[in-house]
Amino acid sequence: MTEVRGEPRHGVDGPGRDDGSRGGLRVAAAVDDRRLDVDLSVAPGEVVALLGPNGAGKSTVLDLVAGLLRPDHGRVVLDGDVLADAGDDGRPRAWVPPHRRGTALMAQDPLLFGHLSARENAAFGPRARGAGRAAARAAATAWLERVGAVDLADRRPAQLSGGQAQRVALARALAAEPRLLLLDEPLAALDVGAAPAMRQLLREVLRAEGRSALLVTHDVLDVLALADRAVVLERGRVVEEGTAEEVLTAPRSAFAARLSGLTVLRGTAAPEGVRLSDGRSVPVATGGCAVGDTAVVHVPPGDLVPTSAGERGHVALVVAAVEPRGVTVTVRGVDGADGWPGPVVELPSADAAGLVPGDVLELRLAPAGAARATGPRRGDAMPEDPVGTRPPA
Amino acid sequence: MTRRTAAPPGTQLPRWVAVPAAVGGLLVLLPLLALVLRVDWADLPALVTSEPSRAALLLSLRTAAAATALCVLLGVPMALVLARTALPGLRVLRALVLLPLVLPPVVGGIALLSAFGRRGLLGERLELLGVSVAFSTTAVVLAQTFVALPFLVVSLEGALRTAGHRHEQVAAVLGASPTTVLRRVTLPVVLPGLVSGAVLSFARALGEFGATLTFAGSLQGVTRTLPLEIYLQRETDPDAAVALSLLLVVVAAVVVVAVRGGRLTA
Repeated sequence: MTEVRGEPRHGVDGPGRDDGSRGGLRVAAAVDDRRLDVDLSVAPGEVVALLGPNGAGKSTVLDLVAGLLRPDHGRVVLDGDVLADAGDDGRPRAWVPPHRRGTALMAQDPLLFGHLSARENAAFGPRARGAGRAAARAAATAWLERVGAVDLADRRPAQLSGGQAQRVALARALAAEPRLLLLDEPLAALDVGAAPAMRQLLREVLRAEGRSALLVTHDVLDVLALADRAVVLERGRVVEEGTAEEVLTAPRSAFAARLSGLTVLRGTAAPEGVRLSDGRSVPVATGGCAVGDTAVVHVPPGDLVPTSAGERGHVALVVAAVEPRGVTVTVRGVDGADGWPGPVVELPSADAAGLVPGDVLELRLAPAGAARATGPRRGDAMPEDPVGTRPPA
Repeated sequence: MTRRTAAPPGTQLPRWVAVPAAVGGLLVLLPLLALVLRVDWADLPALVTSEPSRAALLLSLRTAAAATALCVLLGVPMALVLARTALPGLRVLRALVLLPLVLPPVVGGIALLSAFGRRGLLGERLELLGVSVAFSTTAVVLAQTFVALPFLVVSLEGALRTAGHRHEQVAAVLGASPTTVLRRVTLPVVLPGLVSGAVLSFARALGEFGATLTFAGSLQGVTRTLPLEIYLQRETDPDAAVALSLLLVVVAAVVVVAVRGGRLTA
């Protein structure tokens, strides 16, 4: 068992995390000048979404795995093969160059080779790995067929639309028969018309065929449709990981909280519910949390209602933005001092008339709501709410 | 050629700019026009096909072609090193490599003599092995390569930097070894820059005068290239000099049109 520098952020290494000897990917590495220090893994056949704000280090992780960047500390292991090892902690240094790693990269920009036809592009991986001309051509044609682009086989990249080019790029990546597919925002550059079809195609080739993939994305839909698990990076650290559903419906990081569109209340478990840092209490069931434990409450926007005039609620929302959505409006509260998103509530349009930024809304939990407090999950690095040190108001 | 588009609104030039621009254009075109007007058209075929002229033209084409091949062979790796590596002192190295571009060719010839001449740094040892470089056709090719190499390196390095290295990274991750990446991705992507660099090198080699005269001398059929022949003829037969000059103008024009017309500029 190897512990990579720093404190064990993810608790004890459990099954499937033993340096890849059970297969799959383990990245436990740091890159100093990018301020990246992560520990994450992809099990065989698993699709892991890598989420996080711009500059969090998502693409840097892909570069580490692809061999486009050397770690300063720690190691990268794929299916038991040490791809890179910085040689700290007395282990031997190791470096496998990108072309011997058995990965394939597909980025936001399709990056097709402009001087080759679509078929020659798709045949590039097989040819590079030693396949004969005819075999590579056959593989390329088969993959183009698989992604629905076989009728484009003789075209040059300049003659393809964005969606078509991305299909060819996917065929090219898959034709290389990678042990692990690296997807860097593969849908981000497609227009809204082309993205759903491409997402569906990715779902088919990833989920149905049991491929391992590391997927960098900004999009909730990608996570839901494609990923088994999600890992959230912020400022070069893993701040949350869980199943795709957990991360989206019960987020534990500022980024995932914003992505989910939920109100995320952080506090400590108390006999009457969850006590928030401003001294208010939210009356929810705290099953599983001992009194005094850190606890989080996730509330859908429809489950918060304004209190009657003058009455103190469970949550105070300082209006940051009012977004009309037909018969309702979504009101967003200002972010917390630590960058966490403020409360979000959906109100009938009539009730929100006249709300301007800076107004304070007192909100209470809807009686029929399903909000429930939960304790921290493994892998959380949830910061204390910084206002929690203040005396209760 | 691409179709000209009108200047977008709000970006019109001040009118007076046209005046110096026209003067500059005349400065280039007027001498060429004067040259054409001075050509003795009746005697042109005889002048151009005389024995010394043909020998000089053939020698020029042969040596310029050899120099261009040498530029490609040496310049491509140089451009790759300059554009794709992070060696310490690379900026200094680049400046030194580009020096022949700004050096007077005569100085280049003297430098070449110091290295490869009979008493030169390397020449003395080569002499012991029975190899004599100076004042041979090899010297012509070396002199032309010396002055033409920076054209290829600059042109190709620019193309490499513009192309970026993302495609190369994708190719490597797909399993291509560094040599395969170079052969199947890098060079095809920068081929236009390479071709335009090679054409410019050829043109520069073809026009080489100073370094050649200093380092290789002027021996008919051996080292007397077309520019040297023109210079010599000017003393004895100005009409022949003009006729041969026209020949070089035509070759140069063909080269320029080939580069610009193909939009192959880096």
